[in-house]
Amino acid sequence: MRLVPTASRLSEDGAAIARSLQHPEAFANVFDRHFAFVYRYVARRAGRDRADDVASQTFTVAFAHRGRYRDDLGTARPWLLGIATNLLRAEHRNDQRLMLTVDRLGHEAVVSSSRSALAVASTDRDDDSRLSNALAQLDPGQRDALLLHALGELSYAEIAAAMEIPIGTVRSRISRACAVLRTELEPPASVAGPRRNHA
Amino acid sequence: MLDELERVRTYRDDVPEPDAATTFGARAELLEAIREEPPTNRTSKLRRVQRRRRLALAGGITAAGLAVAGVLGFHTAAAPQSALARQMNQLAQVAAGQSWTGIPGPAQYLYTESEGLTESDTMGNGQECAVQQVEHRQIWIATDGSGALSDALSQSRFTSAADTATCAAMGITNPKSQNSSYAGRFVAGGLSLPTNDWKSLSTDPATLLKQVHQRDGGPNLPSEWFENVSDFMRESDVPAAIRAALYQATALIPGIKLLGRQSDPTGQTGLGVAFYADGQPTHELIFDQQSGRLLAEEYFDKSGKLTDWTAYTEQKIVDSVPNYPMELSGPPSSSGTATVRQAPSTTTT
Repeated sequence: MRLVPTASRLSEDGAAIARSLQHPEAFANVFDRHFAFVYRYVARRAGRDRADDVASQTFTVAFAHRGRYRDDLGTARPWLLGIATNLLRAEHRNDQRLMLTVDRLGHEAVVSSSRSALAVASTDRDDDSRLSNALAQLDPGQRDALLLHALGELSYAEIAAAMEIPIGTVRSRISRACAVLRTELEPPASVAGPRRNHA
Repeated sequence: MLDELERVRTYRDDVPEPDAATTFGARAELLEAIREEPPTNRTSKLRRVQRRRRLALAGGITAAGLAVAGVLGFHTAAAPQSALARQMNQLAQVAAGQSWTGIPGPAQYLYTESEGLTESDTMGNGQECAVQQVEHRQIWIATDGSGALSDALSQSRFTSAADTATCAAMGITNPKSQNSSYAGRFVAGGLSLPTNDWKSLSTDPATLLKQVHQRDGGPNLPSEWFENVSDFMRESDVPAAIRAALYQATALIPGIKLLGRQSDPTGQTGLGVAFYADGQPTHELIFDQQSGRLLAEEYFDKSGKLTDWTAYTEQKIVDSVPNYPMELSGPPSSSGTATVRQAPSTTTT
């Protein structure tokens, strides 16, 4: 069902997008409501440098394709995150490489330039680095579904709508992704022993 | 599975929200895309008018655009004593003595009502359906950019057999299907006056001409300078002294000709001045010689045919706005700060 501008039960996003079909300025309302969240989703996935471009591009792409927006979910967030994800995925090879690069650079592209912030984050950096490596091992479809769920806070149904895949596929992709992560993040036996002793 | 999910949920959760500059930049890009949208939807053939008006909806992007204006090299005539200069000086004297408009006070709005004729295009499959429409516009603007806007496009009609055929091929057989109306209220920053800092502008005409171009932007051409002056007078709370200087500045722009007494399509009459290119008027302003008010503006095509006009029928300071739906949140202010909603926390169920 395509969005109908005269419908009376549109969500706040739906109403703004419907209005923007005749009055494009109304689309700024969608930006104001969702930009910070979309930016942070992209920044956590790909680093802040890329987030500047991709998050911005997400809204210009969304604006250009607003006539295809579906208001079934009552919010534009899944749609926007889906666009952001597709933009990232279009370059997913670079995405993989950058994900690793970001961690090699010690989070500098991700965390603020504040030294104190880096210091605070340092204890978590190893964990995030290992997780980055593990995420990079995932099939792109699995990774997208998992990150839309975990970082994008989307439900399975919303991911299904955002990625235009069946909800069962979402469920299985996330399940498989978690299984891969479990294996990848399993501490090596030779390391696990001493760590346990320290704990 | 829950353990892995929880771990991913905390992945890089120290990434901050976008700062104001990032948000402002992204918003400016979106507004640029909005302004430059290919005519897949309704847009005016006379993009200038639409674009100018859209600036009133986007104070932030106006400010961003101004940054491109650099040092200008005007080559204006030195105080010409032509009939044009004399008339504009007279108009300036009238304007300087008026108090019919001015900067709205607290909880006040500048109200401007206009009507006119415009053309809109609908495009699809490489074809362009053009309709001519009557526009009735009312706008209320406070100095903080809050206010309201009502804009109705009616009486849509095809203007030629070719347009009728093209539109029919696109499935548009009834031009009235292109009528539309809009009414909305805006929070602070949703609308904008030409400037919030009239005091920084000079009353010296040549200096003022440079200043309005620097603030309004655009190509450094006489035709653009005339547009700049127009932008500062349309839906504007320009103080009388600056208005007077704007009239005198108009006389300094090469290509401006005095037309004498002119009538707009609604019957308002006043003093007409126009910018000429290749021997034809392209843009005309008509001023009320009794009040100094801008009465109307008209645009012409290369053959000299009137294609688009706006008559400003009323302008005054008012104390309230209609109770239209609150439609848009405000764009970033001209200072570059932005209103950004707090992102939800990263916890989830």
